[in-house]
Amino acid sequence: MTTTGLRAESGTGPVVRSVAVAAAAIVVIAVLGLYSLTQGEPDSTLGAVLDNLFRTGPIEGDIDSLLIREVRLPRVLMALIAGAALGIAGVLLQDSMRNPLADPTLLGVAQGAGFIIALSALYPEVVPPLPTTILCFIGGTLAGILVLGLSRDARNPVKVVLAGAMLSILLGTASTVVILIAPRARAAGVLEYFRFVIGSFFDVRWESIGLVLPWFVIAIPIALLSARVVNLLQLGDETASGLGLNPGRARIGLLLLAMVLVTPYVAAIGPIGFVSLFAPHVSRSLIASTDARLVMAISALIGAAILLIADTAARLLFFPFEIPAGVFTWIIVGPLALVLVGRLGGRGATA
Amino acid sequence: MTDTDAAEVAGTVADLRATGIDAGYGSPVLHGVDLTALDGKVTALVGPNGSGKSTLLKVCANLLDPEAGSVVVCGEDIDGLSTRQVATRLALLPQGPTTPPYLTVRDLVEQGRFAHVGPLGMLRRGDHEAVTRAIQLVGLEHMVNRDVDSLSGGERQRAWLALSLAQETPVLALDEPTTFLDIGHQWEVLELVRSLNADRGLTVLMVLHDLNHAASFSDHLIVLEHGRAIAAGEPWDTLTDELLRDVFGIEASIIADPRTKRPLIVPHAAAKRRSGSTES
Amino acid sequence: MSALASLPPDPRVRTSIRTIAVVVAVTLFMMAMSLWWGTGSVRLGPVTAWNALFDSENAERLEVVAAEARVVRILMSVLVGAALASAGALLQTLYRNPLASPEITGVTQGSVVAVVVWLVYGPRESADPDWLFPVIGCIGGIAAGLLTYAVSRLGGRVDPLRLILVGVLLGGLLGSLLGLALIASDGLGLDLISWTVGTVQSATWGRVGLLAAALAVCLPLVVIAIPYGNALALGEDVAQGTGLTVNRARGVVLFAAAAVTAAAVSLVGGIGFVGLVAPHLVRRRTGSDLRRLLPTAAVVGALLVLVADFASRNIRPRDLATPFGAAEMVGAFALPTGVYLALIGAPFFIHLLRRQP
Repeated sequence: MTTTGLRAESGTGPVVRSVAVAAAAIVVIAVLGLYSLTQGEPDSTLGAVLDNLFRTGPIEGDIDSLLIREVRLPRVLMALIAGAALGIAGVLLQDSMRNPLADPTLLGVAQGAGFIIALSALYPEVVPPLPTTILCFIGGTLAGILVLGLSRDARNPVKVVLAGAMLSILLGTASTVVILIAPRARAAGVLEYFRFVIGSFFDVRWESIGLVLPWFVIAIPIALLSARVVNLLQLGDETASGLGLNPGRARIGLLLLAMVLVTPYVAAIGPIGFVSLFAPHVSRSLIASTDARLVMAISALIGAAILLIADTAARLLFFPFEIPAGVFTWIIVGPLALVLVGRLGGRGATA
Repeated sequence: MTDTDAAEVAGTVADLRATGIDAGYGSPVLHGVDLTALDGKVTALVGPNGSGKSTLLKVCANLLDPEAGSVVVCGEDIDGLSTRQVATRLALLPQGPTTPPYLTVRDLVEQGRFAHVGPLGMLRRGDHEAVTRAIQLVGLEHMVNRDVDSLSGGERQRAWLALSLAQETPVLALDEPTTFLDIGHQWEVLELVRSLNADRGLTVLMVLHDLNHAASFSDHLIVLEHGRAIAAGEPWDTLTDELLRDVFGIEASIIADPRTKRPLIVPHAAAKRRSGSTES
Repeated sequence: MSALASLPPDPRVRTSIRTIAVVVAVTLFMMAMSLWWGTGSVRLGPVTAWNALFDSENAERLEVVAAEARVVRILMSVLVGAALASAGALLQTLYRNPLASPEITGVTQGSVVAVVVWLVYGPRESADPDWLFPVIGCIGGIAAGLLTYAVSRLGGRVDPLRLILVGVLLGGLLGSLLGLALIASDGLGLDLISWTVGTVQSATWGRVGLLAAALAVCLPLVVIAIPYGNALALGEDVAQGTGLTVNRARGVVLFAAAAVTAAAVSLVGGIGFVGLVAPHLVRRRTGSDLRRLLPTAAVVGALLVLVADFASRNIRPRDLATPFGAAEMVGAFALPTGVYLALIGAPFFIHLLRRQP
């Protein structure tokens, strides 16, 4: 096809569609975000929310201010940051591996991180005293590298999913071994491990945001800048190296970058299933393009919206009981991702 | 039950007739296609990429339900037949099938008896004989215990062909049986098909990519373009300069093969694209 | 019809029979070792063991108890191993992938979650009958297996990729629920956690009988599934072309594997990796045809679990740590059977990962 042919094509281009989708996603995020900030025990008015959002200065003593600014706002922000990061990480992994199912949830990243957490909770003396985020990064990345790096055909979706599942079981067993061989005196760490396994937004405060924000701020620009490399890798290894890119090295770099984007949230809020699988696919079909630059931007917004919806629902649906957002995403986003992948399996990948 | 089935099949005319087939995967691929594979003849299905050849073959083999139209094999509508009954009338060899590792030629060919054996999958004497016959027909009797994935491309294709032959059906459908083979093996497989047709009276329907193969090895040609059958008949009648230019996009001379007197296509140049067919 | 020259016989039939014979012999030896050997506890020689089992008047009470407990564990190990290996052989054929195993159908997790939820949240009656929680586990496992199939079927065709994804998804979800239940269990009993990776420890005569009966019921189902599995191994189009109704056949193979898995894991917990390793160990000798692969894998699976349980009974993590001066860092708890199977499974996993398709 020639450029003139492309230009002659009538209808909207991917950029126009991207802007439209982005605008829609931002509206959803804004409306739902404000709604989420008003809901709770007790509910706040929209006025109070807006007032608290745009007023600087110290918190006043009223319950509204405290709830909105110290409890609900960090939670909403965490959902947005984590969702955006997961959305981008999904694009990086899927496109660089050229595998529609390359996803941290399916690679055993959570179990890799979990193993390190189990070790550090029960045997603090053998694990270097690093922040949880870094420990999770190490554990999760090792799992990802094991499946994608060691596998000779990381492009085979069935193989990667099976390998990820078996590795998850293996790492889960390893964590169990740590728990079982630890002496009774260390049993307190067991609870810490299981809390981590379930994951939750319960105790997200500003400190948690502080924990993940540096990673986010560093990784996002690098990810957006690497979109060109991702686009090259999509053309296949031979083409990419013909154009002057070392595909193996680029892929490892992108895998590490994806882990930088994913693992801090595993540390802060626990494993969040399938957002990183779902958001990129939805983005591609909405804007009908596979250009990584556009897909990343849209996927970030959609990921943020999904996680905000999931957290709001998890918090409010069974109020005052709260189910962990991680469990919630498994139940809600998982099947959606499945439908999507089912469609991929049955032809029409670009529909 | 299956033995009476086989007897019943043997007495009828071994042909395949598809009429008014509309089919596709979500979006339509075939539009009102008619197809006839005559008893004891070799019929080749040709057409450019994406014209719907393989889809049509899948419909004929009951692998894909058509949205409209009917397929009649050996006088019976395929819609009223169970999968097993279809498998005793028509055997299909799909394009580029993959074999699991450590599967011997014999193991593979025995699978062809699935529709004939009982629910426990025990092969009876007649089944073993059918398997043996099929393996001998393709000339692999000295390789029965070799793993299929250790064979050469041509031998592997012959092993798969033996699986279809072990079904002992009157009609054999082949989807591009020469894909991934080098030229010697392509001819080896096609000659085998031709001799099966000549010696055993098998009705053969095959999708072929290469027009010269189709011209050399078939009695009857059906040409598909954009999901429509636009020409059918004997090779000399079907293959014309206009057809080659308009459908296949080549300027070519059609000469008579000095040995077989069958048509032989000698391309000269890519044809100028007709207006209105810019879509790829 | 002209007389058919007979084809040369298949050497793999003999190889398979020979392999089965050798493995059965090794298994019998291992069963004897398992009965006689026991560090730290009662050590029974051949004669003592014989007396304890068959002539209890001439044996000490402690020896009788120990011998019976060991026999029960040995029988349980053998049955569980054979069951899980058969399920693994069926599933690897169904999914056309050597990395497949019963754990990815959701059945194992379903059974484990059902049992753990029952033990944590269920009514605390004074004495549950012996058969109660295996039945609950079996129901949980089968339910999870059916759910996997039903959800995969929603999209029309039941293709392997979708079955795998649904199984993995369900397994992950059940894993979260398991975490919730374990946190709610007060004291987080180590026995409960052991159950999640699988342990033969809780075997009794009644439960061995239960498993044997369940497997006897499943056997015809497995036999029916074998030709279906063989046909499916050649791919969807070929299978249907030879006369198979693909969706139904996949259902039959999956259900056979799920039933056998559920029966096994409901009695011992989440034992894994037998189904992955056992078929892989024998495939080169028996070929991919399930008629030879499945029975051979079954005896190898039995041996694997037997060896793992032997290790589980005789290896004490604290004793291993002592030479390194780390005894105080390690508790007195013996690791469950499933851990040793994972240890056997890990190198195979890496190997399968590295292998070219």
